[in-house]
Amino acid sequence: MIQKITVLNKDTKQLVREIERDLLFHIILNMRHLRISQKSAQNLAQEFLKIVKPENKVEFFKNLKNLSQKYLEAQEVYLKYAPVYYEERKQYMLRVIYDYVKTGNINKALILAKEENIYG
Amino acid sequence: MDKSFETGALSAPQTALQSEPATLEASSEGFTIEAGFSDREMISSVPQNHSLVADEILSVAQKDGIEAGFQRLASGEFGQKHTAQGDANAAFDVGKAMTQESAHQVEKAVYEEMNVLQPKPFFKSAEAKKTGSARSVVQKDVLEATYTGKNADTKTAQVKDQGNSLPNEEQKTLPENLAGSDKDNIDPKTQEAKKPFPVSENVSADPEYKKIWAEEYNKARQKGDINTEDINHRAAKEYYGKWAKKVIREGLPDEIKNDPLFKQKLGEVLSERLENEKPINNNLVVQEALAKYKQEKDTAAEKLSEPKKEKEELIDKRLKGLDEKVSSLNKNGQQTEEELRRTKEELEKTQKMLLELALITANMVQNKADKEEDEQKKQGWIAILFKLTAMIISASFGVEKETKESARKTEQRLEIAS
Repeated sequence: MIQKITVLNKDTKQLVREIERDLLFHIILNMRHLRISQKSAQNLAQEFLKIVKPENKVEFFKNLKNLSQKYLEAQEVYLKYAPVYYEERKQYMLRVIYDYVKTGNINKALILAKEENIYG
Repeated sequence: MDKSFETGALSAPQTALQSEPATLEASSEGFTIEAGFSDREMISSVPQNHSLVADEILSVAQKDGIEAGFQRLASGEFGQKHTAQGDANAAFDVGKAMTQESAHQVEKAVYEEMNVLQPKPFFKSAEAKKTGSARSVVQKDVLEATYTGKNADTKTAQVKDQGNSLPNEEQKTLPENLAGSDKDNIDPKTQEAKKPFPVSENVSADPEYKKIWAEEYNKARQKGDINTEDINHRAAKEYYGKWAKKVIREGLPDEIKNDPLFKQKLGEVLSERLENEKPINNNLVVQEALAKYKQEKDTAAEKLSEPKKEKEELIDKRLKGLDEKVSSLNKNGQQTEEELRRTKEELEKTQKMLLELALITANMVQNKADKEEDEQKKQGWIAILFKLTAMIISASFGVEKETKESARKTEQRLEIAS
């Protein structure tokens, strides 16, 4: 079950910090349960530190997704935040499109609907 | 007589040695495991080591923040806070220096004045002094028996008699830990001797050990007191004692000298002796440490080969955990896919609706064009209508670029027209 967290309205810095905290928690937990080797944990930390200062959320989640394909801990964190983020983004975009249609900006709505690839 | 080891001179190494076990754990942080778990040694070293690193990262994160925790983890510099190796080395060096420098005096003290560590004020009379010396002889014998494997029973029995002859008055003057018969003084040692002394299967299969065991058995039989546990213990002591003696005779190899486990054992022996106020003898200390070291090495070696089943179980457990994880992830993936499918459907609906709206707009424009009397304006409306139709058609066929361009142009024209 997905926890009730908000992502879209959050400041990118704050969001990254929360994800960083969760990731460290998972690393420590998995190290204790022998699910990750010291070397892998070190590599994960190094790779995460490279993506820790993103320009925007889209880029950050894209990088986190790449990381999650390699490390279980990153996957757990990604699966916690990404669905919420994309769902919120989808709802937001639909609202904008609806507003465009309502105000008669059909083309803008069309463009937005076509350009916006919600799941990146 | 050099009594420096009795007081301050030894307090420093003792303190250092007390912290040794923890520091040695930390000093083993160099171990890492890779996927596959091919190396058994690594597997066996993992739990403690990883737990330590995890604890360290956690404490850094709690103290200096999450990013600092990540930085520490990424740097791979673990165990910095511990001065483990330093402590162990320092302890070893101090112990070594101490044993080397004062070896002569200590040996003299131990072998010539055996009551050096006994509380002299309690031995008031010459007779009591004698008895005190006798007690020390018992200690010496027990120590020798412990470290060299020699049987001290005969001498001990003699001294026991002397101890029992200690006058009651003298007994009353002794402090609690020394009061009572000499038997009481020896008992803790005997109790210690009765503790199980594990011998690995390899050692028990060794002909040398078997020979020693047979000798011990014969001795016990002659005495009429056959206690297998005691025999096992004495045989093991003798076996490892012989091995240690041989190694010392041939010269302690650097490999052992620099082994942290040996340093740990040396520290344990030294601190144990200091705590119990036992005499420190260079050879005996090293011998005992060596025996303990060898014993633990043998046990560890056996453990490495033995717990194959345990490791298999661990791997099975881990695999099971992974399976559960994978199934949970699959479930999550399915949920995400379902969400994606729904969103796509919604988008398609929206697109369809928008196209319908565009068609309605086109009809409206056409009506406007039909009603327009000014020919020039009528032409303008017709042009817009064409564009709109083109946009609708291209959008219906999914020609994105054209749609985008035409949509922008249409929008501009609509704005101009309005």
